[in-house]
Amino acid sequence: MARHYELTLIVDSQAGDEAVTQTVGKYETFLTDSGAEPVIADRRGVRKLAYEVKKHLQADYTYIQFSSGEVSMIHEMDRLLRLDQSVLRHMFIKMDLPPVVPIEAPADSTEGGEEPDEDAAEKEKEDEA
Amino acid sequence: MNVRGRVKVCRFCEEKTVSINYKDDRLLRRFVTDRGKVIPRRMTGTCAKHQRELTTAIKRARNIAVLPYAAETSK
Repeated sequence: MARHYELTLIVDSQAGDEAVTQTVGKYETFLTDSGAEPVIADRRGVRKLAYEVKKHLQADYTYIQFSSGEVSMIHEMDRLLRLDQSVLRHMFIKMDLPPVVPIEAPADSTEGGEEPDEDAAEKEKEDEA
Repeated sequence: MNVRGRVKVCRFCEEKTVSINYKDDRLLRRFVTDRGKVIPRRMTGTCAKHQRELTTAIKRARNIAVLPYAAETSK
């Protein structure tokens, strides 16, 4: 039975945008090659770290959602990530729900997070289903 | 913060659309002190179920440097 995971990748952004894309792409292909299906990557870009990680104050964040039935693949990937110098930190999370394409988070303008019309938002969700 | 007698309702029970996610630092920051400690349930009014989800989310967020473990020495 396939399990659903989410992988957070924190990549060194000092090497430049292209290098990050390459690193992230490398792990995406690793996942697809290992039979993970589907693989949905959500690159969030450079953000400030809450604390210093390996002498870095900012880094590039990517979230990759995937489903896989093979646990050994996760262990192997975890090993590779730990060895990779350009990956500052990574974290695997087991999810309850299968991967979904992330909905673009609203920009910082929505302080307070109040939904103007809750019913309308709920209806939209139903339409999608 | 919370005056005795005034009952606060759990925010996540009230607004069903708000989900707890470890990536959402703007939401989580409201449930930690400015030093980074988790604010107790009795202060925020969060119900047991959602407080449980919150603490896991906060701990995950700390792992990936989205939230601090402890605030740096006061400026």
